[in-house]
Amino acid sequence: MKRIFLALLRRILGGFALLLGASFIIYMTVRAAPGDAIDAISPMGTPPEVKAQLMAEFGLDRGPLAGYGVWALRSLCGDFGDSLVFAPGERVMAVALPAFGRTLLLAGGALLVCLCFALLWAACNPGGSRRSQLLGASLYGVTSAPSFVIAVAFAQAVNELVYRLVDARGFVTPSWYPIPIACSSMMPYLFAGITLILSDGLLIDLVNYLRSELQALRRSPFIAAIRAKGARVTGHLLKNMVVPILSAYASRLPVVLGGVVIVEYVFTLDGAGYVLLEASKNRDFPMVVGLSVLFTALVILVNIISDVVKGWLDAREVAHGG
Amino acid sequence: MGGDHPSQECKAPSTPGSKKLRSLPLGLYLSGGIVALVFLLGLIAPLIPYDPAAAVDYQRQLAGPSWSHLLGCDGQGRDIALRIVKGTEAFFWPGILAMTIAVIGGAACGACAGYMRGWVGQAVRGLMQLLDTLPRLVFIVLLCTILDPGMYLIATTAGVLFIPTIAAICRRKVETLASEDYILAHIAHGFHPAWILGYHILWLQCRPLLIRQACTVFSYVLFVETALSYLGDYGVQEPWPSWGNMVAQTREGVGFWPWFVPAVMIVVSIAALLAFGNAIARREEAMR
Amino acid sequence: MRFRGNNQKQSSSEASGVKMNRFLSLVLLVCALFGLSAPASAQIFRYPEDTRPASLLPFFAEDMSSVRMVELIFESLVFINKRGDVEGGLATGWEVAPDKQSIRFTLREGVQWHDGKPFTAEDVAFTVHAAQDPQTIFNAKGKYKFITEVQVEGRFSIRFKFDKPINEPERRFTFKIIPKHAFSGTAISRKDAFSRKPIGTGVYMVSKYSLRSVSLQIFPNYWGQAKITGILMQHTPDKSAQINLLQYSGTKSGVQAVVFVPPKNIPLFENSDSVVLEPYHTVSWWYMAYNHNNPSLANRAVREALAYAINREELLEANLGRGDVLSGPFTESSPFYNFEVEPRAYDEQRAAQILESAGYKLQNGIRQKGKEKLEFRFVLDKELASNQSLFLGIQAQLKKIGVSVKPQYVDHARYRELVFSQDNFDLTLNVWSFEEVEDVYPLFHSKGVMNFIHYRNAEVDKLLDQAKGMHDYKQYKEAMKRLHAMLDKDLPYFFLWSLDLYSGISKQVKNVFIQPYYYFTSFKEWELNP
Repeated sequence: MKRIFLALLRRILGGFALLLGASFIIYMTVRAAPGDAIDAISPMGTPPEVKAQLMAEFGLDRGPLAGYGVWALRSLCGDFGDSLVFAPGERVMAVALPAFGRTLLLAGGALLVCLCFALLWAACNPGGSRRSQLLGASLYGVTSAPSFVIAVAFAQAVNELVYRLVDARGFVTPSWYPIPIACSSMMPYLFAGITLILSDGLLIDLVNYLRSELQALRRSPFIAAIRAKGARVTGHLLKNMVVPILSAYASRLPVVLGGVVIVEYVFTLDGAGYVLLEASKNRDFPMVVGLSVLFTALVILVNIISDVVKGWLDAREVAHGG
Repeated sequence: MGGDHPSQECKAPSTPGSKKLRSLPLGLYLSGGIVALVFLLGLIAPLIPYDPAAAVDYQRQLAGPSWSHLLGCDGQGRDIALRIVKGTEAFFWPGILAMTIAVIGGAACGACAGYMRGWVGQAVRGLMQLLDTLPRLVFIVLLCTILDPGMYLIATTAGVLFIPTIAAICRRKVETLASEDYILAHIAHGFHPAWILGYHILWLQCRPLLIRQACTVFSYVLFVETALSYLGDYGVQEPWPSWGNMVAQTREGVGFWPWFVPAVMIVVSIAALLAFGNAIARREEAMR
Repeated sequence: MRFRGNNQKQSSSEASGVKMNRFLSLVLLVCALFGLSAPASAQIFRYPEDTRPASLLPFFAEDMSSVRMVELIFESLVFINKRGDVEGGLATGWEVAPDKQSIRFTLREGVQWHDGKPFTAEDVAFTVHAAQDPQTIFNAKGKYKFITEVQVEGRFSIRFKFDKPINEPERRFTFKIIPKHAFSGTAISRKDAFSRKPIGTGVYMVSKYSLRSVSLQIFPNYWGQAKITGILMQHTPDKSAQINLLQYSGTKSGVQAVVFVPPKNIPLFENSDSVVLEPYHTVSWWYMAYNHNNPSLANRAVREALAYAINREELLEANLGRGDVLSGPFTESSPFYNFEVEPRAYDEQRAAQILESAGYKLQNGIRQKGKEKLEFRFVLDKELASNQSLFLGIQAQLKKIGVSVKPQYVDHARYRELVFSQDNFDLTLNVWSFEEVEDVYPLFHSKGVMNFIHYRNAEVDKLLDQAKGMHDYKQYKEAMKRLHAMLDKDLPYFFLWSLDLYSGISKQVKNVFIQPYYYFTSFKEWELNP
């Protein structure tokens, strides 16, 4: 128990160091920007002393290194600064956290559904047969389209369908129609989720991965032994697939989170991707840095959690990976 | 679930790959053919003269397909077929660049991390973890909005961000193989570790995985380029053609052809790249 | 929206009167979740915007989407009505002193702020003081410069003194009034929370401010009346998505208006039975700016040649739709436009001739004089959507006379930096929009704050200085007409065109009148028929 606890502690400390490193890279990238926030908001012909005053007000008067130091210290105390342009004066986290929560729900949910589907597919089509080849090929064709293509086509198709079915005949029009309308229902998120599942080759990637893991498992002597005993193997297979499934989830989450940026743009969702795009267009440094750090922190956290769960399920992992 | 059918299960190991070998080539050749075509287009595109300023002709706005313009013309009267071909320039060399960086960097880092036990290995492992925590597309979008970089910088970044993925695969392979008898035998024979790592492990054992990953990286660059160009503010800018900014013409509400053709090209190329990588990897695995 | 869903759920549970079974509640839950049970209310007017309103604090409302929204939330002392006359808003009457150096406003009594506090003359005085505070930094500061003194003469009476006599001074009091009690001092920062939680006296108050959309609801204690009870603005950067929303808007869905319908989409609505195209005339014109610090472009012959080589009619028709080709810095509807000056007609040969006689010879397709090549960097703002296709046309046309231009597309922040502060461009394409008064002094005077092209012409300076001191409107008009002719000749910019803009408005909306700049000025009168 103590060993596991120590390993966990080490893992968390390591994650923290990673977060510092990643935030440093992000902070420096953002500070390297030409055309800073002051130019984006100050009127033409603003005297330099007023600009300097604005710079100080926005905390841009320090050099990048000193600026990072101050930023890191402050954010350690939970103060990520105020938004400059996107939501002037609002605390960064007050905007970023809810938006990020929505995005996480969307990306995490979509990945979960995608994983379940991939698992089913991999189990039912172990590969080799002509039928599964054809199915596989069609899966390639359907799901490797980039998210923006799928999203545009999807929105157009749903609009057209609802228009033909509902609107023209005078039925009650759903509040989420036409896409992309701002509404309080969950429907746009559902559509975005479907788009995420069907695009960017995510599904095919997961199917391939799970299939090869499954195959390796099925060929392993331990399953053969169980089969020789005449017992059902499904339960054992599933139990042993937990670790690969977990690591698939942990490793694909950042990819899906990235893809959300574009999907949110098309479906007019107000998640973290939208905030990130708008804030960086407006050179809202604190917002951009805060949000990117959230993205990174999530990736690190998910990795830690998946390691811990893996270690809990499989003692070898802890001993091996530490 | 498939696991409940032992009869099917038993077949696979008993006929190691013989059935697969027969049924695979179709997919392999099809996807390989498309990939070859895309590469060919990418190679010949720079040889075709294209002057964006001269291509505009308001007389043939949205002209349909004809013999002189095989795929018709877009909203500015520019030949779509020519722009499709020229559009490959936008991602081809950047894609190759990203592929090279990711594969070489990934293999080297993976070998280091797997083989070296001292502080060098630790440092490489740490660096890989650090790179792995940066969400790829988020970071690239960030880079684009902030620095306004060209495609080559974007591709370099994409390549670097893919290093940890490839490194992890190589590292796992190195770690499992390092204790195999024939590798130990090689070490005992006094072969240089770099030779063992580079040839016996990376080249002989990791090649199919590397090819698959290389295809993934290339398709990723294609995706990033078209997606960024579609968003319009980043990526390739008009007047230079890119499949992405051609699709973006939907936004101007122009006809069907001008965006449908590039959209199909994007989907087909990415699908073919992924399928090709996969088919190669599976074939090599099956042959072993 | 959310309220509606809940109400419905409650009422139906009461109506059934019995314990709902599991299935029914599940169905209801799903419906509420997906919003199927609550069709979009007919009384909510929805419209999309290209950009997010940056700030709802009137001083900082600098982008058009903020301007439009502020118009719904805040009021000014007076406003310009449909006929172009001054009408009282927060002021019921005004008297101009005989020497035209001061004005006294009588304010409307019984007006409330959205938080219930009464509106008084103190608020008006505070607004001017805050605007004039050097620590309040915003673009339109110049609009408040003419006021030298504010005297509160009573709870509902206020007097302003000016720096010099002004004709029809009441026309200058169209700025929005902000509440004194919402601020701690006259130095107002952009970071003030007021920009997200504004308190005005207008017909609508903000009911929900979220990242991507702003909901307004009618202010129950408003002194006047309005017909539409709610407004929802949603940020939809993709123009084709906006068009989709309007196109698919049925009887109860979609958006009711798209502020600007791109010319390419106009045919879609021309014979539509659900959407009307409403023309509105903004006081804005397009121009191609020459950087006069570039030695080649400082040469008038080169500027003129470029002007002759660009076929404006063709560019307009292919990219932007209908509009008027201009010869000077005013729109054709402006009183200052000089109709005696004909816009330059496209003449490629003449352009080549001018370059030839100025000593620029054609070599390898590019005109050169000695080592000076006619190659220019064309900096373009990505935010102006039609820039890309316009540039393509311009590039093709200039190529014909041997002038090569290279594009540099940059985002808005970078554009401001490159063009307005760093002087790092040769040519650029842009639009100036004016509220009502077209004041071109800052654009062309060598000391003008917006003279980013570094244009220096002693004659123009003299004329502008003279005009600034003029009290007589007729004289001023003549001076502006002379300026027009002068600028046409000297070409500080190449004046391109002003556009006929169209809004797409759903036919459910009646009584529509669009104010060219503020857009929603007469929104109180708009009606929404279900």
